[in-house]
Amino acid sequence: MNAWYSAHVVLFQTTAIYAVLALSFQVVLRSGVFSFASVGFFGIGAYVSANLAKHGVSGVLSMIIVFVGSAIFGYALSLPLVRLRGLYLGMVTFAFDQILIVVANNGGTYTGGPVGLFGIPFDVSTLELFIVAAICLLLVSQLERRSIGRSISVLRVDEQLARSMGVEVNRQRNFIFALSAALGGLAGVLNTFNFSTIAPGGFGFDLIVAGLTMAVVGGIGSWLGAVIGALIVVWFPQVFTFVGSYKAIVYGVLVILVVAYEPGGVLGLLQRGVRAIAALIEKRSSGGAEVPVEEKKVVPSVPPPATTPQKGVTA
Amino acid sequence: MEQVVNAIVLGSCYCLFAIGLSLTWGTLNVLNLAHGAVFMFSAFTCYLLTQHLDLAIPLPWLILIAMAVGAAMELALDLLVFRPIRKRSKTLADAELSMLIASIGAAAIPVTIAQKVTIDSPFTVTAKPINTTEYHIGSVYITNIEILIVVFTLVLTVGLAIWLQRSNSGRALRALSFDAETGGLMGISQGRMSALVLVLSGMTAGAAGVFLAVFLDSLTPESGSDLLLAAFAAVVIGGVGSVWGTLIGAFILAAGETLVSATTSGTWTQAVSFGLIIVVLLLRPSGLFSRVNVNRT
Repeated sequence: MNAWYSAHVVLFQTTAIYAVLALSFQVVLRSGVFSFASVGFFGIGAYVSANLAKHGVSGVLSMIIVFVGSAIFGYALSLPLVRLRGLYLGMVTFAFDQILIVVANNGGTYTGGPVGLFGIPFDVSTLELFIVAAICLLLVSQLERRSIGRSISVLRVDEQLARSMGVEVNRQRNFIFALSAALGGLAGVLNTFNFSTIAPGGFGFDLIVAGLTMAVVGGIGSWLGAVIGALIVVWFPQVFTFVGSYKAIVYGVLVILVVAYEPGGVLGLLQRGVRAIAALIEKRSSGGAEVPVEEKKVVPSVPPPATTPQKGVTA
Repeated sequence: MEQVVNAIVLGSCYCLFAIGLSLTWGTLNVLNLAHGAVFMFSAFTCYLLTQHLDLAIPLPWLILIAMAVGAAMELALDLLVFRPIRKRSKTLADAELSMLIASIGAAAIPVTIAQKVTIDSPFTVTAKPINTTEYHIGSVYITNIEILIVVFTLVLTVGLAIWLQRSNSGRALRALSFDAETGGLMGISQGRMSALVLVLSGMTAGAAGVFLAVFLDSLTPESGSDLLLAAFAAVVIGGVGSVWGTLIGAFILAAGETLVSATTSGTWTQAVSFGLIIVVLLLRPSGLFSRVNVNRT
């Protein structure tokens, strides 16, 4: 462990925690479910684990408790919410995040009110953080493969089609919602045990912006996008120190630019770049001149998860 | 009785704010989460002018300034954010999600600026010269500013409702909200309509900003997202896109909140909005007063 690493270890830890949160956002957005509930579950996980720690529950055990508990709670919540579509769901989940802040402010000794809770034992090592993040990545990446991955992708692209292909749309939405809740809660636990403090301000509007930035700028098409997003959000202010506390403005602008002009996110951009280079190499070897301009025009019109949904649609 | 006056004034502010949200959602399928930031920033601009620059600005001018700021912000939002997205999106659901996400990104910009300038503390708007007069009607005290808020809201709401029902552009807007494609074939310009709706909603948000800043005496940079919750409740109760419904919804909410804050410590008032949202959405998703029962997915 060299000096540079130990000076930046907090950033590594934050990257791991944020990657889990970004996954929580990414899984719902990828399947076309408009949910911001991840941040609410982040708060729930953070407070529940802080209270568990008071009673001497170990870090690993409370991770498991919160992961399973959030999944069950998320599933229960999704049962009535599954009827809501689109903007209604977005609104309710946004309201859910807001109301949890009210609850945290009024929770008495369980939440510490507006001041929050602090002095929670540090109960997770950096290595454990990375192991947990890796497990989550592995879990989500498996959901992008095989038939389940394709049926989830098709949910976002065309729900009618999904139904007609025999995909249990509602059941899958519920499942995705529960998974997102579990990941969000887990990120909250990691946050509590790593920073030893949690306050209502810790999961407010800023965290929604950060979470969306990670999922959207990284690319909602794949788990890899969440990793890229977490890296960007955590390391960007470090590299470009001049943005300082104005970083939320940069996030906002980035989100708008990506959503409006490059829906695939950085991941989509990279994939396109790789494809363009591959095409260029092929042209070179076959003696052709330039990459045709049309190709550039055609590729971006393909929906963000460039490879998977197509498979799903044609399968 | 004092509480009733409070509830009516608060309901007016909610209505003013929620109407813009309801219109953009109902007619353009945009859930504009930057609406709260526009509201906050309009009031914030007035705060800068009156407190930082120490200018003496009477209330009517402050209202006009806030409305102009709000309109300019929402117009910029439409031209720079929503229009490009609408142009590039393949499906309606795709456009909805993209605009929802982009509006959160857009909201982060004014909120961060305000947080920086105020160093995360509440701010207030004071009009100069202050000429508050109190009227006594029986046992009720009411100030001229409170009367102004209520009258302004009612006139504006009625005006909007009539405009939507009777005028050509109002009719065009309703046609567009019903079926954008057919509307386009009938020669309605979606871009122009969208800009119009957002300018209107910016103006109402700006006025609501000044009113609420004066009425409550303080706002914070995060007030916008708190108010969004209230507006959601008002919109959902009234039915998305319905002007009258929003008015009624806002008053129901304000009455409920006033009741709760009068009987409890007052920190739970926001729970009323959330409770109303959940109950209405689960029991009657189209709202209590919705005009059309069309299932827009």
